[in-house]
Amino acid sequence: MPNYEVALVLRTMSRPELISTLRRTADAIFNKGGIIRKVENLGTRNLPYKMSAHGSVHKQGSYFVFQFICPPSSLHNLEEEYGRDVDIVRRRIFKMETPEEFECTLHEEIKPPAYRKDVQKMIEESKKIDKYKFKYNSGLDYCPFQK
Amino acid sequence: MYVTLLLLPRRLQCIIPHMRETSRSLATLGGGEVWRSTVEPQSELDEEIQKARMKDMPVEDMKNPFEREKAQCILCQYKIVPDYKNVKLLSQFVSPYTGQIYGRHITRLCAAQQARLEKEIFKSQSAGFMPYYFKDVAYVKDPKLFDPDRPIRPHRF
Repeated sequence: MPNYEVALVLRTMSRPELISTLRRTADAIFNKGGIIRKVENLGTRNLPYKMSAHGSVHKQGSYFVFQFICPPSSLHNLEEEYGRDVDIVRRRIFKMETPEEFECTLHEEIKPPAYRKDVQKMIEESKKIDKYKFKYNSGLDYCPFQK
Repeated sequence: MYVTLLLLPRRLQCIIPHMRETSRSLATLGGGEVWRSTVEPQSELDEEIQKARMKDMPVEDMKNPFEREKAQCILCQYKIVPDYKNVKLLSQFVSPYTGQIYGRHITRLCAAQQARLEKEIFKSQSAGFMPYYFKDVAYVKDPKLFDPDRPIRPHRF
């Protein structure tokens, strides 16, 4: 089962309310056969933009991040369940991927266009295209008329 | 021809090849052709001189000492992986006036890192961590990683 991460924005609530909401969201994952690996509290702060959810506009919210393992088939149900929760302003589930390693190609990219490999390839390809050339069909290897 | 040669001053006569006496042969060294003296060593001193000369010959298969270091983008250099929760980092690549993500010609990132960065910024904005239309006020005075007015390529903005 792959690792997922859900970013939650909860509406501003009193502490006991917040605890019950978090317990509800966590239980939703457990009920789907998932395991929670980590819970992070990113604090309560002003939202970067107004968010309207469940008929009210929110300007403040508490941020929480859950890292969990879950069967992919239950992901849709989980998202839908969070969507129905009145206390959750916004939820996004992302797959956690280990960042793939790669070589920096900046030194290639800052070369002048004529030295860049992708540009050279484009020039090669443009040469390959057969352009239409008018055929006289006169059987002569020269043009008998004035051009 | 003979007359003209006689008329030439002495220095010029030396330059004309068939007039000069040569005791040198062509040898190949390090891929290129090198003129080398073929005088047989007669004494120990001569041998030593020959050895000393060989030391001064160009070294074979040597790395180019003037080769420049490969340029790296700032994220590759410090091995930073952009994350959607790290709004402070992502905000540095966004215009404070419009919230637009600066292009590769301004940020000076490699193609792969720029793609990764843009993906994370979209994720962050969608999850409600980062504003769409401006830079978060708390991060406006952060140190600048690049100057948007001096792009690598000219742009239409």
